[in-house]
Amino acid sequence: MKAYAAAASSRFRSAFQYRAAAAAGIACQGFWGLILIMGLEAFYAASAGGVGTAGASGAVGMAGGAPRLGASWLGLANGAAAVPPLSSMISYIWLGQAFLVLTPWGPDPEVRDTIRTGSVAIELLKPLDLYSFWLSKALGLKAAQLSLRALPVLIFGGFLMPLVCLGDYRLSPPPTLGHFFAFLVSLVAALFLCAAVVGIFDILLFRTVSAVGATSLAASLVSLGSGLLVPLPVLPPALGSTLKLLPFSGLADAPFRFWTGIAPLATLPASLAHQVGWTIVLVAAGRAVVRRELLRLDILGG
Amino acid sequence: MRAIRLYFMLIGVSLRVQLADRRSAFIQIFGQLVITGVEFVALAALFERFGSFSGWSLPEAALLYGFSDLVFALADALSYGFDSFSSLVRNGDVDRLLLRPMSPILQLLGKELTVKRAGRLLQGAAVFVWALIETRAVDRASDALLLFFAALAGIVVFSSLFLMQAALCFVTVEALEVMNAFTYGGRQTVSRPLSGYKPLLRDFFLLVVPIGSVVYLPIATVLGREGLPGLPTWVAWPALLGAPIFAFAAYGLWRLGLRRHTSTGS
Repeated sequence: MKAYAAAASSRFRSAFQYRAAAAAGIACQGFWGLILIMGLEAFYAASAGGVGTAGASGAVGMAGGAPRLGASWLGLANGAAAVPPLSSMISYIWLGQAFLVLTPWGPDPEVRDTIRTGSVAIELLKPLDLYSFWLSKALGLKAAQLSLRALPVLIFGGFLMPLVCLGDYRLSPPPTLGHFFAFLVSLVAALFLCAAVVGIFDILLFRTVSAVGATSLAASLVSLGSGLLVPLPVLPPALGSTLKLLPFSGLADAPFRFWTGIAPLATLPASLAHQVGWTIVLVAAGRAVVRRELLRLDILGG
Repeated sequence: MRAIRLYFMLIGVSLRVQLADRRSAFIQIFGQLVITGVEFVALAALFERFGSFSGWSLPEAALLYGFSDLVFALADALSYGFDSFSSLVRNGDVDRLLLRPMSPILQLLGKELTVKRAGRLLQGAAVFVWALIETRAVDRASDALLLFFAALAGIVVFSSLFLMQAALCFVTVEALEVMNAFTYGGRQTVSRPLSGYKPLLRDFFLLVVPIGSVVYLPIATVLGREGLPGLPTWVAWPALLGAPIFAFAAYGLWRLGLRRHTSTGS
């Protein structure tokens, strides 16, 4: 146990070194957040008269009224559930930027290098369970990145925006203290789920070194399914609720719904069960695959 | 002339290297196709829910989205050398670049033509062609000509951004992520009608980084729309001049950085 704790804490400390890079990252994320917010705001503005009806006739201005893909796409989508208020989606987007590191789109770079160079063989010599070692490292890395990035971006969105006269685009606080605590609990569960997802990415790499295809598939599922690309509550309900079932909604969407007050507090147990359940499933699946893979592992490098 | 022949030789080598493992190259292209395809799914889903963006329908917005992705993919593939310049600075390899009797910019451009960007390119092209069929927009020779020059200008502006990123390496190699705000941020912004954004962001990408001027305005023109309320459609032609001006500025920054460069590494 001590060894795993050491792996997590040493990774935390080494990732904490890059402060200039972190500052650049924060500026970039602040700007990116604004782009996403303004992009969504324009959609809200277009449908000011009521979602689902506005624009459908007015928008097709020219070229002889080209048929819209929308009409039948995903069937019953329109009007089934109300679109949440823009201000809550603005907060959702800021949270997405603040907790960006919880939506991984690749393996742990350190683990990737040990597989590429073959030094994974040395790790195997250690009297440790390889997969637990990886998971602890991922947990430490993500915790460090989280504490470096989250607070500054939250301050950027919550306090800087009103200061530079962009008050409409600010991150609003949670509606109640209860929602805030629900958010925190859900966030911790998200951190563990995130480590489990990184573990799956690591394994994809284990199977073939050029696992780029599978990794990109997984990465696009993460970015769409977590609500990072577009907040899940503003997607067409059929698509949004399907994505909510996947593990990736537990990385970001679940805690964000509590902060923004979209999810009532009573849904916390169900939401936590979703996160913890998927964490257990992913870890168990990953561990089983690694155990089998180790029997036929080829070591690279020399 | 000799420089251009050398450039194509370098690119030929880089293509042979990347295509040495066909399967791996194919998988990488496929991976990019999937990742960028999901972005379009997300955009289409938003149109499904909200109907329109600043008065543009999905096919119209898709024309802009596909075009901007096409342009960005080409610029991204060409500019690999600029994008990876920080590792040269860090290792002290810039010296080697400067010793060779060929423009450093050309050497960097010749470093690699990234094959996997074909994934984004294919996705952008597919969306663009679908949107063309749906909107029946480009029906005059002048429209096609405008889009051709717009594509060139767009590639120039994006590549200039990557060159600026390389120039920034002479100051710091840690804070490069800042440039992503302009490269990827510019692509994201200009992939939707600029008229829908607040003036602050809109004018930044029209006037400071003129990617909106050379990509968005031409698309609005071929769709027969005003790019901004009250702006005549012919403005798209002179707006293309933003590209050479911006490239000139990027080149100036690059020269400035090169002059103050001190070598690192051993």
